[in-house]
Amino acid sequence: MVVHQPGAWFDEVLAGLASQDYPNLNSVFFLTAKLTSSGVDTTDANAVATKISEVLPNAVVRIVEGNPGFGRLINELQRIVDGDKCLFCIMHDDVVLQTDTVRKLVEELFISNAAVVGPKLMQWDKPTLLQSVGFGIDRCGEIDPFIEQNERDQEQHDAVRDVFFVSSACMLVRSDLFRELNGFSQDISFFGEDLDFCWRAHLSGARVLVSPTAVARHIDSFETRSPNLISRASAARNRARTVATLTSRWRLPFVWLQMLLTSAIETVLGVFTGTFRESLASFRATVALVLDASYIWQRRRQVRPLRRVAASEIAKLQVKGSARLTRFIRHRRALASREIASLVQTKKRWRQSSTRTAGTVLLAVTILILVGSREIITDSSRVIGEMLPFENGSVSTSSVFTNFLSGWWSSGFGEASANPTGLGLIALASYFLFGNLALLQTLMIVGSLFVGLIGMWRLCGAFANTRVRLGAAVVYAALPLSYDAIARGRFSALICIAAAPWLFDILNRFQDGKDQSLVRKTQLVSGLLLILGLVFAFTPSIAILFLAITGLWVFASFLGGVSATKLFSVLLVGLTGLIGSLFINLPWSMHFVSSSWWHLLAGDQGVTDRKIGLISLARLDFGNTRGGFLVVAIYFCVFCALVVADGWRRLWAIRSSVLVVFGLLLVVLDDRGRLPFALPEPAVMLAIVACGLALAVATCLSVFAETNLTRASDWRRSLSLLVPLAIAMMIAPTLLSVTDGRWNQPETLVPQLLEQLPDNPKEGNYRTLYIGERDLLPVATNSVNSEISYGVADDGAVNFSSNWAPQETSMNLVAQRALKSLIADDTVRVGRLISPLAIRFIVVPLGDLPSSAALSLVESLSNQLDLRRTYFARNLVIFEDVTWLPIISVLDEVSSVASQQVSDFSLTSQELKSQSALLIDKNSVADKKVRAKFAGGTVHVAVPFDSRWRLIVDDAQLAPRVAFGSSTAFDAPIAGILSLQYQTSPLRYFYLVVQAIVWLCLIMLAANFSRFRRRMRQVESNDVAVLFDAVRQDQKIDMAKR
Amino acid sequence: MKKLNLRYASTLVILATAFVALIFVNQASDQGLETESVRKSENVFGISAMPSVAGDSQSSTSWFCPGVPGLEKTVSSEIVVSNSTDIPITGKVTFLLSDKPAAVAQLIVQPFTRGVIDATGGRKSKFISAVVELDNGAAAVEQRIIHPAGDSISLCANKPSDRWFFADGFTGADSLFNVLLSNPFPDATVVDISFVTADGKREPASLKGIIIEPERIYSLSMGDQGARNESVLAVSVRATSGRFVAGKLQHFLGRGRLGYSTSLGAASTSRQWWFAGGRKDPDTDEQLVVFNPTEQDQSVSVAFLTGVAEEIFREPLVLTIPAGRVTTLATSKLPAVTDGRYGVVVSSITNDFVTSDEDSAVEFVVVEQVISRREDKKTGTTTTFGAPVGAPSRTWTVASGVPAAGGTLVILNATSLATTLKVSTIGPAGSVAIEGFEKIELGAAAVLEIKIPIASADLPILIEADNEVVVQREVNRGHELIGVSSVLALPHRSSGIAAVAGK
Repeated sequence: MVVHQPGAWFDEVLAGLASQDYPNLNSVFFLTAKLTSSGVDTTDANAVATKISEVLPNAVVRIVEGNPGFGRLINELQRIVDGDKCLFCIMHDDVVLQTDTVRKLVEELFISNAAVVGPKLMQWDKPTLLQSVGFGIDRCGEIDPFIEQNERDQEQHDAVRDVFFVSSACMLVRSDLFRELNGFSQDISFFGEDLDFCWRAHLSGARVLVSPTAVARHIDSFETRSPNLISRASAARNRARTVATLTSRWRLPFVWLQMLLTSAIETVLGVFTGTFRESLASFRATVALVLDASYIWQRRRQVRPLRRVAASEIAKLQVKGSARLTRFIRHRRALASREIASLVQTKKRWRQSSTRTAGTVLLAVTILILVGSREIITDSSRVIGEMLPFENGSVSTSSVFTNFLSGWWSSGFGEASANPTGLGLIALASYFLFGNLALLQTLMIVGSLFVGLIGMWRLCGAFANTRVRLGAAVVYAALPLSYDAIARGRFSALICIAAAPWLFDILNRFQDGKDQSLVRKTQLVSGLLLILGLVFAFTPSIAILFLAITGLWVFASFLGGVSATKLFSVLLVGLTGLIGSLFINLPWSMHFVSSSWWHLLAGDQGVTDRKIGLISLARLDFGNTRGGFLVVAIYFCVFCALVVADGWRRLWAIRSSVLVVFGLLLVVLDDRGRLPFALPEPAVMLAIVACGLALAVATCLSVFAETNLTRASDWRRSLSLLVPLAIAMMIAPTLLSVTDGRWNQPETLVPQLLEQLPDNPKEGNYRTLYIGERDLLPVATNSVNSEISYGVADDGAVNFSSNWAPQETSMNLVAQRALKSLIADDTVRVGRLISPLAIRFIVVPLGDLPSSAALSLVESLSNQLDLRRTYFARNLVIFEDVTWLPIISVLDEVSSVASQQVSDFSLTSQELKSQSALLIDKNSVADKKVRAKFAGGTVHVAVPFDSRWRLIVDDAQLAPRVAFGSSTAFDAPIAGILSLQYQTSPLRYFYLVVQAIVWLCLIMLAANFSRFRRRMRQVESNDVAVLFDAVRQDQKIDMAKR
Repeated sequence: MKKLNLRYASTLVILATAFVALIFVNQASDQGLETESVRKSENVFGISAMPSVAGDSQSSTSWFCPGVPGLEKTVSSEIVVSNSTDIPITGKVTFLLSDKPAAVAQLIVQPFTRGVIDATGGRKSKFISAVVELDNGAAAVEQRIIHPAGDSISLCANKPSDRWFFADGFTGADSLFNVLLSNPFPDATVVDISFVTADGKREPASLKGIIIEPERIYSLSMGDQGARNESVLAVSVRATSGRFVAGKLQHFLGRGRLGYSTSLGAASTSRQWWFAGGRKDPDTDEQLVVFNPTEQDQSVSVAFLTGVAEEIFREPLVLTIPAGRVTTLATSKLPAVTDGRYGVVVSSITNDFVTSDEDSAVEFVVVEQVISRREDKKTGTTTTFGAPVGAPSRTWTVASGVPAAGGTLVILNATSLATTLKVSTIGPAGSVAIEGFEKIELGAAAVLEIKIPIASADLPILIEADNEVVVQREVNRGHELIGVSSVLALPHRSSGIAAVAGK
């Protein structure tokens, strides 16, 4: 018997053993001892040993270090007991035998010539109810208990019969067989050792049967006795491994497929039947068999000598069809014949099934999100703000990857710099989707909603209550912040909102984890780095958001009484995350090493002072959603949490209120231009407030769900009624938005209108300048002032790569200066000022409600003497600069001379003219595929100057010079076939390789692949460390001599 | 409730403080927002109604002159560029011709001098207008026509507009009334022209959709367009596409008017119009011509500012101008107006409670002053646009100076406070106060007439005041003709803009 921290019942167990009428009985006890930081604590074990000695003076007692597992301890019998002419009655420490149980088992073993015999197990408290009469299994290892739950014993199962296995709670085994089979599997600590053993017994030709006349009572309360060891996953894993090890090789592939299919179906059905977790564990175990391949192969080799019975014979012992289905049918029949009371109990169980509730609600939320996003899924997102098409024009996976590898960042005006990591990630992800970039975009947009939902679910795991987690996750998903981001095309905000709960979760896990191993800490930090790095690759403003998140988290935890040491470690982790996210985005992140690094990170280039107002910000929808004012009701939960929370929940109440109040304060200060620095756009920063609100809801629900509020005088009862009302009010506007199908993305014709601009015209490639309110511009922007921003894109349809652009090039400075003059009405020749920048069209999107600044901008543009009005509409204005130079052109003589000067006056005083355009194709300037005939002259390339540009005329390579103080020119006095190329530094490729390795390492660390390695190598220690025999040192039982 | 511990209480206090701060920041900024909004709307709408000197706020300026005749041998014209800075101003002049491509000439104006160039640029064309682009914001530009029927100065616009108005036109006794439309842009501008006579508004189909070619000037003789022998003739020109600059050339040939007058149009209507040069004496015939180009009737009050507090608004005169019509007020015949100098302010009292922000969407009236002086059966007529709302400024520049013989400055204090003035000339030594004019007191709503000394003739003049004033000058028409040519000086943009105008 293995004894582990027994309860009061143990006296009865010992009495049962002592009362056995079988004459030749010796007892061996293995007592587990606690492992503490100072060593092994045997105090309790010694007390138990003394108790055993008092009842069974001849018993052999072994105290062992810790609890290495039932099977492993029982296997020690082989060492303690000499000789093969005996029987082992293996028992749990919570089984009481009747006086004749052992005798009857022995009799039946001899009568039936069996090798393993089990008794009829009855329930401990209700000895009239059956617990086990042996078990059958189907081919997939699914167990059929033969009896219904709580089935009354009416002797209906009292016939001796062959079963597939009997419970290890009490089983009689022939010692010779036990030795031959090498006992229980060393790899199974708990759960499933009996199945594995009996199956091997069958393979060796032994009989396993149940003898119902032998009766024992069993508590079977493993969950309450060893909560730390409960694991559905390990039970499922052991079962799957047993099936994979012991099934014949020809049947194994089919069995595995059958297991995979049935477990997958059961997982889906489990959402509704309340068995989701079990089914999911089963599914994961089945999938993980792939990782266990080497282990299984090794085990099969060990088992091979035992295979004496044909596989077909074993199959006959197994339940035909599905054991689960059989069980289900039996259960339905039992239900039909039971009384109403039973049904009531079932209904109660049904209601209490938290997984079922969670599954159903999450499924409903999923369906609502999918229905609300249906038009985005079927027809892609509209081209709004940053939501530019991934698949547009000449963009393909390979072209994206080629651009990523290049040393020339070709967006905007271009720059000799590393391309954004995001480009590489998109290229990589699209490879997994077979190059379907559009699908990738849809997945990223709609998937972000689910990522945020799951992140909040994980974060609220700290409340250890499924309904609380569910409430918070649903609230987070229902807040209008994400949907407003979709409606306004704020992609960067969307992914920040999705990432925020995950960041909080990691900080919380790092702070609250007790005695975490270095591996666990490394895993958390790696996860943090990966999340931050991934989001940073798309929106650098996550760095500032995370800074605020860390600061507020530490501040709130400090107020909540968390120790300074822990807070310091969280701060350290936060800093590591920040620096690490920059590091893993190298070399691109060098772009942020600049005097205006903060503005570059903020992503808004200093746009503050938006004057949105507190109410619109607090609604989290900027005033855009129908009935959005109802969202404000959810702030009641913040107040409520502060009032009702006590104990450990008070910390969460403080955290949620600090996140909400200080988060809003930060956003409002920025909104009013009261901060000395710029923050990312409000939608990004409001992710903090959204998390705070969801945590406040979680705190309230936790209090109400887990605190007894039955007393009528409890003032919290009234608040508990208001919280659901507040949640319902908050959800209502989002529910209304579901009907739209694309979360109220505006009907906009702007992209279609932009299609009228020519692609690769014979006059030469050109750029388009987008200028106006930042949110309306479909490209990466630089701010001209607090209200007007601008960005540029090459001719052709805009695509997602326009979301990233270098912002501090010399050409940006020229553009910025010209546009400032324009807005100040300082010039009527802005066309000439931007002429060397190859800007042909100036596009001003106005939106539905243009600001006075935007209208004033149009006014100023209308007064420009070099701009031709191409298109004038209510929501879009397009001008054409008649003085534009193509991106690659041959300058006339006068312009060539002018190109050597740096002065606005030289630009405005004369019109620049090109003789002809060169190298016209759809590719970016650094990737020109075409060649052109050239008659000599000054070739002007409208890109910022860099010495790695080469103009090749026939075989002659020409070095560039600076033109107009910012762009590039080649003085080429020779005629010939001309091509242009940018020579990427080999170091660039080296950096990319290093970057890839770093990412791979982080993924391995975050995924903790060591657990897979353990699975594969089975490195778990199989040793049992016996400390000493409390009664008789080194006593052995010599059955051979008896 | 359980007893609160100290830490939790402190936390609640911190949270409450943060919440109060949140509300405070939000509300405090709302107040600032209103002030900012008013300031912005003043900047956007106040100054655009009238040409002005940008000053240091801009590093370059552009001036769009209304146009001059280019083929009349007896007529010459010039562009006057005043440089009141201590550095040379460079720039270029683009001449827009009626029937030929535009021509460009470079320009340099030395510090503290006036540059005078031929307004035709030596080109031959029926009409020629000029666009002057300068690399300094402190420059001021005017256009002057030397005509046998009387010299005339007109302002040049700072920017084109999509609408222009002329309240006073006159084709009586076959007087000539030419409207000049300049398009300095690289694409064509399409305009619709309508005019109002004593009989009512007319919108001839021939004046719809007139195309002004890129970088050309287009002229229109109103007499040839069916408005012959009209004593009342207001013109409204609106672009359906693009922008342009409009001016008028008037040659009065009889029926009480004689002489030659040019002027830039009014680029917008305005809630108020200020006139400094009102005068009542037996030899002067003064009219205020109020044009209502809107679709609704407009009521205006006319106040005569004499500096005597009791007389201000003593007899508030209210006129109602029907939609799309012109009303002429003969001020000389008003018995309540005493003889002498006075200022006039014409204010729209329609939509009186419209806020400043909404003014941008509202149109008001256009007012011109017509003064005919008679002497020994000779008459000299001049027309002048008033200073629209927002134009009164503390600093004014007279770019082309005021000829000593027959030239005066008339300054109206546009505020209800007394003010102190300084009048300087800009010469080789920079800005130097004219002796005797270093510090002049001017009462509230009073008008002051200043004769410029001979020594200061032809120099640019700078008028600086403590409060907002309106400066108008009256210059001799030359050629021994009687009467004066009256034109506003140029206000400085950065020196106080008081109110808001409509479109």
